[in-house]
Amino acid sequence: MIYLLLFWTFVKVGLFTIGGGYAMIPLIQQEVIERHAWMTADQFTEFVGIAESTPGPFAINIATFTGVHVAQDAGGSGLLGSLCTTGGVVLPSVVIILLIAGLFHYAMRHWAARAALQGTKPVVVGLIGAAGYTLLRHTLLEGGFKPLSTALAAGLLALSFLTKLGAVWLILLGAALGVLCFGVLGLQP
Amino acid sequence: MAEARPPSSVQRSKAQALLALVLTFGKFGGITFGGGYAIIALLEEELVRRRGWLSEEELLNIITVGESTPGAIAVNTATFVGYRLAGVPGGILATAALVFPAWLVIVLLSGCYLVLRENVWVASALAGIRVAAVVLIVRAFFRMAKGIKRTRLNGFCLALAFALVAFAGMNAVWAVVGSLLFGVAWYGLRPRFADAKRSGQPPADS
Repeated sequence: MIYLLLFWTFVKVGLFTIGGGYAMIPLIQQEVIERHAWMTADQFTEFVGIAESTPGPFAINIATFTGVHVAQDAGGSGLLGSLCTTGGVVLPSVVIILLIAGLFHYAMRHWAARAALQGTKPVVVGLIGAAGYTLLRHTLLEGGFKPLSTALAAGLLALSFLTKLGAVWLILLGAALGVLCFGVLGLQP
Repeated sequence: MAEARPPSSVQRSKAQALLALVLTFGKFGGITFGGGYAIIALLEEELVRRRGWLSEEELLNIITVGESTPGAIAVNTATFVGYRLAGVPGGILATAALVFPAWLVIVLLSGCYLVLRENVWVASALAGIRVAAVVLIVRAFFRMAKGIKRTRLNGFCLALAFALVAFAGMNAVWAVVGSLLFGVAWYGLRPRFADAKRSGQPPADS
């Protein structure tokens, strides 16, 4: 039952993401690419870019896209698939927040909660690093070393550190450079 | 129900609060890009300054909860604000309103995406987008790494999680669960035991 599997996968993603946004990438990447092979690494990376340039929380964008894509591939309804994944990724948040909202001051000041969060901080960053490393290796090395893509990546990285360019602009710049280099000039990646 | 107010006005004010929540969070869901922290500036502007629904301190508390509970920060914040202002229905409606525009855009877009992907111009743009997206992830890693307290232990935990997941293929969920348990043991239980004992030398913490 693809819908149930989608729902459950994204409940897990929602439940084990602490720190929001990019912290979700390593979990989705492992589940969607490595475990279930629902998407290729290329499609996933493209979609990270698309999610960054469409409105709304990143987690919702990527969950919705996976739901549509996977359910359609399995011959089901993309709409229903997207409801399962989006509902799944949101459900743990809503349940947990409604449960703790009443006793917020107690729960958040409890030593165990603070200690647990202190433990997750470096690990969450390490996980994002691992996702970045895996996708970077894939994007630049899969099917042979890609010198032009590597140069573009280095250039964009330097630019993003020097100018604090927003995510949307960086993605649009990437798209423009892609069209110029691979489309107009017909260069090899 | 308060007897002082006629029930119709109570109902209307509750309905008004729900409507305002739906409109506000629907707007946030439609105009913020990248979610998370982008939404916090908007919340501050709209809920604290314009509407006066929350104080600065309440908003800070809510953001803390949003950051430290599982899930997307924007979603957590919407649920919490909705709950504060209109109870459980408020929490659920605010969340649904936040999610709806993002969901709709992607449902519409993903239909075209798989077809357009085959187009040579779109394909070359996507090749560029892939590079930029990876750069964004790497940048997020460096930015977040800067926000962590510089201790040897934190550096070790970061490197260990990185190596186990990137090289040994460990499931990221276990890394998160492990770090929660380690946090409770090391930052929670250990100082408490040390306090209780009082004897013995203080542990060599860097």
